[in-house]
Amino acid sequence: MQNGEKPTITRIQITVNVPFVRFKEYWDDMKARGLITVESEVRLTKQGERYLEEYQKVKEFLEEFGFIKTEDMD
Amino acid sequence: MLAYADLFIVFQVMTAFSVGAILWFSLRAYRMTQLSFLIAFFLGFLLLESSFTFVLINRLVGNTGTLYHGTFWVHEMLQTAAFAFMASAYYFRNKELTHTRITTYVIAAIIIIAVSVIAFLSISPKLAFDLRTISSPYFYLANLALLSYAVYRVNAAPLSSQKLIKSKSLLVPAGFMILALSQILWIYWGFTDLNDILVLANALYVAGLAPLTAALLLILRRRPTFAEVR
Repeated sequence: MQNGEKPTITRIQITVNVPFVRFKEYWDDMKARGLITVESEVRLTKQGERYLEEYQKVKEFLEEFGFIKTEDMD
Repeated sequence: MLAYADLFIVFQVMTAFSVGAILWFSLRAYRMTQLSFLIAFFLGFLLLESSFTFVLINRLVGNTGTLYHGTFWVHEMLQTAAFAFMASAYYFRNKELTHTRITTYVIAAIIIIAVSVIAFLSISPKLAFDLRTISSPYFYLANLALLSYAVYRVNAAPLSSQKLIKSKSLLVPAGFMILALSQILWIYWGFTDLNDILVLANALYVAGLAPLTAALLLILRRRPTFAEVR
């Protein structure tokens, strides 16, 4: 989060700008897949970090090969 | 073995590495994004590698008229199908490309190639060889058109997003442009059937794949920082 804010569920939902019902689905899915942990605060797991790294590479691949515009997957 | 057979084995090894890397990463990207045009892209490169295997087979065993023309006949059809799949990946990048539609294209390509091979073997050899020789430049002309479309679409994406031009961003357009240029040599070869031109056309094909692979390796080599991916 920006400005050193602690990531809370509400703050994340506002940042990603997704309707609450859909956000909840994604949230539960991420938890079920072990990408995030929600204890005293929301944290990315090692697996979540690896997923994000992979996502970044795939995004770059799609951009470099002209399949998407830079802003499409942001 | 025909002329330059050894050189074609080297070409085949190099293209297998390049195309293999592109295939592997396309599949990886598809698994994550489920973007169906990536299947078309994958199939395009798979067919491209298959088509060049037939050039190698030609160099290794194409001593008779039927084998010589037959292998080039299959090569030409596979290569056109390959570039058609690649171009379709770009055409469908913002459109719906269902799995049913992809399956239909694959089945149609298999039927067309199978019928063409049967027709080639069924008619008199003289007529078959003449038809193959006459049709050859037109396949490469079609390939040139399909690749030009891919080059146009690759260039259209970064420009419309006003992305800064980096050397890495130029690798993919350069790769497709070299592949398109190689088709001009293939057209010339289609008219002349000269071995030297065949080698040059293949060398340019390998040279075209190199920047595509380099772009991919640069992406894989780079480890994004945690702050960047957040």
